[in-house]
Amino acid sequence: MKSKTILFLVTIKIILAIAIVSADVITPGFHGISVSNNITNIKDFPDYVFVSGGGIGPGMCPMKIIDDGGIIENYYKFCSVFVYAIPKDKFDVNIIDEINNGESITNEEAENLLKGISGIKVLENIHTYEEVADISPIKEKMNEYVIDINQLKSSPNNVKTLKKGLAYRYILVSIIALSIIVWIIIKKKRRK
Amino acid sequence: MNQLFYLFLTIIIEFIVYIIAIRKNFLSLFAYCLLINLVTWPLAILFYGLSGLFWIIEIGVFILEGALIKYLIEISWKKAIILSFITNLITALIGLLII
Repeated sequence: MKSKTILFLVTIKIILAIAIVSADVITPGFHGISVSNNITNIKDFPDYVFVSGGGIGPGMCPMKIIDDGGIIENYYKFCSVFVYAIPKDKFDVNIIDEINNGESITNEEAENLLKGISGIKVLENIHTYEEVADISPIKEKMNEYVIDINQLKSSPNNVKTLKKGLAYRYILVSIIALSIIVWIIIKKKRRK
Repeated sequence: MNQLFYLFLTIIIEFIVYIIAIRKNFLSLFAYCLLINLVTWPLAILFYGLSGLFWIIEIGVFILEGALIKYLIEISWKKAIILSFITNLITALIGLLII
């Protein structure tokens, strides 16, 4: 009975270990690309401090202050980042430190602390990493957000992508093959 | 390199289905199969990389290949569509297994 319990516990531990390890493994045929996120109109809100963070807890996805350039810093790939706008007169950097250094503080608790200093959630569901198929021409991605203090946004206003030249080669192959097919079909019809 | 292997695999599988269905002009069939796949495969891979909409792209490929088979191999629309459906179903399922 005792050995069965040990076996069961060992099995559970192995399953958990596999789950944790496979979470970091890239799907075969895919590769990761960096996604940058930029708030383009951050300068329109000089009375606010913008902070990003969140996802799977401040331990993995810490709170970061967004500077005047509006660029949201990179995060761990599983972080689903949100952005809070906090009035400058209410902003307290100690709250950010408390969130980042607090032991086992949850995402919800972190958000409540931000709301406690009049924080308004303006963006959510931001990712700084994405997996694309190996054949994808997309090399880099840049999401641009135009924020509104009274509106929570979860998708970018504009997405810019940097592409590799590979795509054009694929299109060229297709066009050449199609041209040959059309030529063969025309030739066949003329024969008749 | 992997992608070229998948293309080669697709061509071989589709060629075998063509042989079973048509049973003549094997050399021409191979050339047509190669050309058809050189039209549809790069486009399919490209659009899949951009959108990830696997089945919608497969439907597009099935329709385009059906038309190309009809005019190249000179068979009826019905036979061309069935042939395209079978070949694309097999390669799509294999593709899904590989992905």
